[in-house]
Amino acid sequence: MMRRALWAIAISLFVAVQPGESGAFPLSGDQTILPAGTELGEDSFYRPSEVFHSETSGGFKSYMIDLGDLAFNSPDLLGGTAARAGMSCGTCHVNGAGNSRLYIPGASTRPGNFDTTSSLFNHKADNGVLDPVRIPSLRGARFLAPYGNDGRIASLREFVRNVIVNEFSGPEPSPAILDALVAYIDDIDFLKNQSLDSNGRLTGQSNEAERRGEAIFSRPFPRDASMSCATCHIPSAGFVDHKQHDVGSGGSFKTPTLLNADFNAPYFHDGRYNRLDQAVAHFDRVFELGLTPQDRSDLTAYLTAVGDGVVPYDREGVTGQIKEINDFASVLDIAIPEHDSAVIDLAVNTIGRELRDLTEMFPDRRDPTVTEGLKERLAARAALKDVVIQFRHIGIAAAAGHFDEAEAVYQDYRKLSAFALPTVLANAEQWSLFNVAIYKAHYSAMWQRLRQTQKPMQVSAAPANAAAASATK
Amino acid sequence: MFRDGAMSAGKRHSGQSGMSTTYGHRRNSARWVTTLSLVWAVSLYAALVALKPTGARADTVAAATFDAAIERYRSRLVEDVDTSIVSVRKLRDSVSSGDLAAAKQDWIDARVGWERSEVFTSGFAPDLDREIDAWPNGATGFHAIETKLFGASGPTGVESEVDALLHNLSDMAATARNIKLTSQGLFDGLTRLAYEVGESKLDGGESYLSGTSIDDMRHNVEGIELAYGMIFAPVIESRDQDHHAEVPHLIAELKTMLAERDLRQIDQEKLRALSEEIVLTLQMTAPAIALARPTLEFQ
Repeated sequence: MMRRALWAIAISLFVAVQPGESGAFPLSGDQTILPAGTELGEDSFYRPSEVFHSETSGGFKSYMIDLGDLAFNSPDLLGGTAARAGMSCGTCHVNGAGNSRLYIPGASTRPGNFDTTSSLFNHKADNGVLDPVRIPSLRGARFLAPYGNDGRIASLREFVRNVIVNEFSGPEPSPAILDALVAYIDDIDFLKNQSLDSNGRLTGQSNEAERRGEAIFSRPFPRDASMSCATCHIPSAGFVDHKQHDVGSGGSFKTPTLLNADFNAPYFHDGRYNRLDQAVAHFDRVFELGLTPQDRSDLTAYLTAVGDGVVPYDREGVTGQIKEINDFASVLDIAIPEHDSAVIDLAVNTIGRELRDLTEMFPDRRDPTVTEGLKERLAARAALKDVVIQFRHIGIAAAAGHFDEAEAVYQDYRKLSAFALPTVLANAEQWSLFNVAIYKAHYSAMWQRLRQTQKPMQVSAAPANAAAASATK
Repeated sequence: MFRDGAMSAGKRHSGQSGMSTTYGHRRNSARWVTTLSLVWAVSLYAALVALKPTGARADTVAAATFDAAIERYRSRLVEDVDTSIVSVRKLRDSVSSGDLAAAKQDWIDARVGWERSEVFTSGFAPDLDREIDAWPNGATGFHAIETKLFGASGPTGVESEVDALLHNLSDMAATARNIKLTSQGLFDGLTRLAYEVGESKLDGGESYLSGTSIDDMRHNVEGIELAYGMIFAPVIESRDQDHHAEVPHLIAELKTMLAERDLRQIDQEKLRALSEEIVLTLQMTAPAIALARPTLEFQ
């Protein structure tokens, strides 16, 4: 998912949630925070890395996994406001992890949470209260049944269907697409953690504080000796017990895993805590654990070690984008020979949209925020636009039953994507929005214009350059 | 990717030359390899993409004569740019007299002729195009003025931007009158504009402050229809039985979609599909009228 797409989603959802607002753009109202995904710092270029079980175990992702990944990143799967805003599953679960930056005015109370039972995405699902829940990471989901924060659904397949149809008013997905989504989610592994062995015990490289924390973790609670942290967060079982508990947070919720939790903030079902030490303090208070400051600090050190992971983030860039698009396109290896029009359509639409977004990462001649590398940028844009038309060609040919023609065009794309296309893009990358300085300049200008849609009072309170400065924070 | 390759080539070079190799040498070597590689990649790319026989074979068809039609189109084009200039003059007067409501309307009126003429502007006068229609916030141009007229800060000190726009539009009108208009250039221009109409407007489009992005699109399509109808349709009708009916049909569909008043009511995916189908059809029909396959970016 490109930065630009997130920007568009944020703005269009912002417009969608203005009650009684008539007419098209411009925006109006009280936009007090930067739209999701539009942070202007280097941080915003890092996205969660995705580890596939099939690949780490020495194999290749199957057709079903690639198809699931494709569907996961396609707005076509959802309905209503979400689809119109260009949202997909991947908007909230970036690369199958979470999205701690997502903030949707009217449906979030803080970045990283989101009300799935609001009228914004499905009138029928509206429960009448703003009760946003944390966006969970899907890493290791195959070990984490039952599903949902309240653990109400035993089957991942049924849970996914519920999210699509009920929470996001999407059309009933085909059994094949549901199977594919489950295959994809089941293939997303936890990040490797060198602090833990296969039984969830600390390895030799851990420090004293972590070891003391590990002891506290399995120490019986003073008021109930049958319980410890480890009773529910069972180290040898992925730090879960597959059950729901009331831990004094306002209801009964399923035990979340602690694996890779360092990258899954905010914490608790509603995302009320930013840091692990706050979660420790919560349990200390509610269960009267009587922890000393040293205990708390040791327990937090232990949780941080448990929650760690190798290479948690990837830097976004041309190489990663091309790989993702190629992985999506690979479903056509099967779908075209099998004359599977539904999958061909899904692939063509999703890839075309991603390619159009990728094109806009290379500013054109009219963009005054970048002057260098015009020739390279235009070459990249031309190449990407040609590929967009190739995918449209595949779609149109297949729809007309001309599968040989579709196959021939697809093979042309394959040749291009092997070397020429990535090279043309890589040559322009330093002058694209993948370069932080250019990204900042471009989005500062966009943001300044957006600020102009605010109420005059607010704008006069903050001069334009101050808006840009606060946007970079 | 390749840039890494270039770096390592540079490092190898420095290793062979020993300590005497300067940083400048290494950098030049890397740049040289990068340049060569870019040339290679671009030509390989061109070979892979452009030579696909997608329709009739260009080398077997006689060159078509578009000259008379192009001159007729030129008079309409000049008219559109001139109409835009008239509105910008009115805009200058409205700004001088402090009539913000009139100034806003003048700005909207000035966009009409401008957006229609984009078939021509981006390919035949790219630098002027950039001055006139910079995006996002340039110092001058339509959108700098839009920000001041429609933005929350109010129309403070917009006179110099309006004067610059008037000056640049006058240059554009002169260019439209005098430049040699080629059939290939205009065919490329209308194809590129057809592609642009399908770009995502989920963020409100480039004229979201004035709320007129959808008008921009509608006038783009009028410009496409004008150029296609006046210059290319008659020749394509007589030469390409497979495609001649398609483009007018698709343009009509686009117009129907864009008759909607609210940008949010438009199915963006359907719009994109239509836009891309027009581009594909134009690419396929190009050989029948002895033109090269249009490239989608003016380089």
